[in-house]
Amino acid sequence: MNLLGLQILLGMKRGETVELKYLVKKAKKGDKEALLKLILQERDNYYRLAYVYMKNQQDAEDMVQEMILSLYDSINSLRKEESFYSWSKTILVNQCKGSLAGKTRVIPVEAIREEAVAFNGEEDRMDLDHYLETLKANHREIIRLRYYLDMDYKSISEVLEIPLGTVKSRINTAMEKLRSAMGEENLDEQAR
Amino acid sequence: MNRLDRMLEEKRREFNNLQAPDSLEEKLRAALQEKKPRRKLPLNRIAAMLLIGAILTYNSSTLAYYGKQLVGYDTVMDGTLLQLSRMGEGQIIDKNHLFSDGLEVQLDVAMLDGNGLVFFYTIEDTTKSKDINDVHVQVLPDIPFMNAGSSGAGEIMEEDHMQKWVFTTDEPPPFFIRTVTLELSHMKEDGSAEYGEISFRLDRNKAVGETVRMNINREVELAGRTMTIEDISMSPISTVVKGEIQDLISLGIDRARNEYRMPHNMEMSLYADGIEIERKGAGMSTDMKGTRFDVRFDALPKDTKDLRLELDSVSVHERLDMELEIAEGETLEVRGNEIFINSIEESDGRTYITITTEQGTRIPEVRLNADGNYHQLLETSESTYEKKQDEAILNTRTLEFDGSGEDMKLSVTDIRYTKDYNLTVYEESIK
Repeated sequence: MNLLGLQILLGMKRGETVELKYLVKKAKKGDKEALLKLILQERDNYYRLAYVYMKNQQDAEDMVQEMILSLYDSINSLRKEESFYSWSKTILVNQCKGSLAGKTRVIPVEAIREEAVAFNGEEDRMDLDHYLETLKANHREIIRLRYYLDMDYKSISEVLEIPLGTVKSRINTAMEKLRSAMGEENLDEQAR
Repeated sequence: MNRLDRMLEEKRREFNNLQAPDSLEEKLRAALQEKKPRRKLPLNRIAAMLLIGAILTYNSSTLAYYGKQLVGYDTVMDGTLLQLSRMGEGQIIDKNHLFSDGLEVQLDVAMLDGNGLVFFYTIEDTTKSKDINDVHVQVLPDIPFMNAGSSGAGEIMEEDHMQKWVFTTDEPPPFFIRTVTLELSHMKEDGSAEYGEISFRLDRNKAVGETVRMNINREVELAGRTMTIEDISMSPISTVVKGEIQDLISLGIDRARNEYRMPHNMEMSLYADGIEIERKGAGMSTDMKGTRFDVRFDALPKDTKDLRLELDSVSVHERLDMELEIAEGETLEVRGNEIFINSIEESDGRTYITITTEQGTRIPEVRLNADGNYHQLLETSESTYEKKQDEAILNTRTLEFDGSGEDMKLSVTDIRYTKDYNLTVYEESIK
């Protein structure tokens, strides 16, 4: 008995699973419309995920476009049809990171720290992203996935291809760093 | 709720409200349409040797007539297929599948040659009660060891409650394949799907004529590299030019360096005795062999004597990392492409830079470096086009950046452009 398969079926509506599997099978045979349908069903989620990394509409759209072309080329390497969405999102994330790695990092971290300090007195004028820029890339990433996109630990683990335990510990560390970057004295208004 | 929680909640709401732009669907569809259909999996050496046998098999195929003309497809077929069918070429299949709602798919004829396999099929509403315009049956060839793409065209014949289709694969089935299956999926009126299939035995003796392949091996410089136009394959159904854009090693080096230079469209013209042959399509694919392209044309007229192939232009997408000082009235050069700066204006802390380039040149990833601070591109205004005396079309648009400063540079990390060649790459007199 395939317990794993049963679990997946129980976790999703049966109709959804069947349609997902059907469309992925079609896409594997080169059916472009089937692939497009799969992506369009989750278009906002793909776009948001790309936007989290690229931070502008055009780049986010370009990344989703590059992703669909990669999926078309590599969909036959996907073994479990029901994993299509996490698999494709991993590809999207890797493409975004690859694209960003090709760009010059332009804002010296020290400059941002100084700016952040200068704005401490006018807390809400400072966007959270400015503080995030002072963190390491993997900490920035996990905060954006967890809190901006509201992704659960399991989905983050699947998309980033890291163990669940690492997701939890990385989120904790990242949050500590973020609190520290913002200046602890400004953190808890209720406590003051 | 502390300040951090509040800010995170604000971000969550902001992203939750973020919706994919309406343009995304069209963009994805267009990208997929341009995409070359996948190729079959690389075969091992033995299979490769067998493939050589396959080519010999095609060349030894004899012309065959089935003594019955294909009727009803005249408006769906292009000139060459129409002529072939009138000559009685092809293999009669005459098999059908009836769906439970009375819809019938009839596979009439298959035509095989060295460049592909063509199917002629009819979809008929035997109940004559449906709107034939809304009937949708997807037909996909399921051929072992073959993952080539396919394309088709159909015509609706309302009075006859029929659709007539002609459908072509981009490659012929491997020579050892005897049975070909068409997988059918029909979306019924109640929204449920029903599947079926039609299988037939491929009769290679009924393959349509010979396929002649001629080497070109012409190297052309493309974005700092060499692209090779390898050969031209002429069959009774189509003419296909193939070549290599980038080999696997060079592709690997580029990936390692995080560089990206890839053509996304190629324009070629083929002339037979001075008359241009209709271009049917082009595609590119990257696999274990590297990045390859093919450009497909209609078949050559029967008595063609002189053949000429011209490379017109190649559109390239390139990732780079350049910073360019800008001033009004100056022309920047990026990878041989001119970007003229018409004006630089500032308003409400934003900078508006109006640029003119040739129509095919785009810089989708550009930022403004103002006094060392980088500002994102917020928007590109609507474009205006102007035709020059030499027929080139110029495109003017305004880039809006979120910031301004004294010392300004444009940081360009991505460019898409079209390189014109207008070069004769192959000329041959066929005896």
